[in-house]
Amino acid sequence: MGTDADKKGFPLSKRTLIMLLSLVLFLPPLALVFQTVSGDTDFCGTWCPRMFFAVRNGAGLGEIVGGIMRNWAGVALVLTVIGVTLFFGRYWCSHVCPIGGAGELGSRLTPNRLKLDYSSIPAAPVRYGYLLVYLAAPLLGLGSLCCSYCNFAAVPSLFGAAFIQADLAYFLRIYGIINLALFLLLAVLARGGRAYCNFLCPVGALDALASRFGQGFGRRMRVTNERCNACGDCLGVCPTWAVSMDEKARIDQLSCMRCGECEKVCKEGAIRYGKAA
Amino acid sequence: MEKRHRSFVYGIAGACFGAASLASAAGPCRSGDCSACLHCLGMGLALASLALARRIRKGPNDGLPRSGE
Repeated sequence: MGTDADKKGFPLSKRTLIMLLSLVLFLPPLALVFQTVSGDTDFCGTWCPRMFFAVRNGAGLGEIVGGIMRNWAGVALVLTVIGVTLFFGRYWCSHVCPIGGAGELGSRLTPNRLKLDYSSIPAAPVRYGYLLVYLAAPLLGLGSLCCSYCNFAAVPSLFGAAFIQADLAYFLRIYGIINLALFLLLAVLARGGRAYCNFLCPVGALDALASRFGQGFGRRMRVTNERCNACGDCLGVCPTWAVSMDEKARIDQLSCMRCGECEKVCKEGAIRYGKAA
Repeated sequence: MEKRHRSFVYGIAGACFGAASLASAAGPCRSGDCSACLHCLGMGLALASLALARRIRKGPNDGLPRSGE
């Protein structure tokens, strides 16, 4: 089964083109979606997909409602992402998210000998340990907003640094330096470029839960056991190490991003995107 | 059992990183009161947990040939 690029003789796959389009739509200097819809320049405002449900130092219901009103576009974005994921899989994470896409595209440009392999680390415990504290700690009055190590702030600043002075200044602060290091270590230098998405993205963590919840009725990447010859080709290409191999390949829907890389490399056509049989 | 221990420690690492990512109301390293800010403690514990989880994964016989090899 060939890639889109193979079939059409075009050098870029459909997913890569969507990721590149997403960079143009969401990231500086263009960030066309923000400019045309809300007047923002980046995700740190109306569009923040993380802040609306975060409370500040144990604040009450009114504060939560206020957060939702302030970040109405972020609320709509997250609800849309989760709704799409329930029925069609994690298209946002794999195709549209400009932050994850920037990391993956960066990783593709990185020589293989420099890449770090995080696949020995089980992603789900890290991801949900992170999400639990991220949601619960502010309710208990420990800390407040979750902007310190946020790649939705760091990556747009990285793209905007050449054009916007505030974005350049971001990387002269300790937060900016740590965020840049995290982006480099967990995305650009990671095999597959998606370790940050897999470990430390709260939106990705919620999206993964939706993917798991909808696996019975929604479309997902699935293995046809009769066709699988357990060759293991799919193991090495999965950017979120969601594929495991017992006697047959098995896809963990809690980590699968629906990128389709496993389907492309499977010579037996044993992995397909669709509903449960 | 070992796998469960390892997952638990990785969960602790994720939780510590979550704590580190929360912004302090007082501002980082300005209040002089470390209990108001979980950055350093959270990051430190997260890294320590990762190191511990790796140690559990390696186990006492790591690197030695298994039977049949």
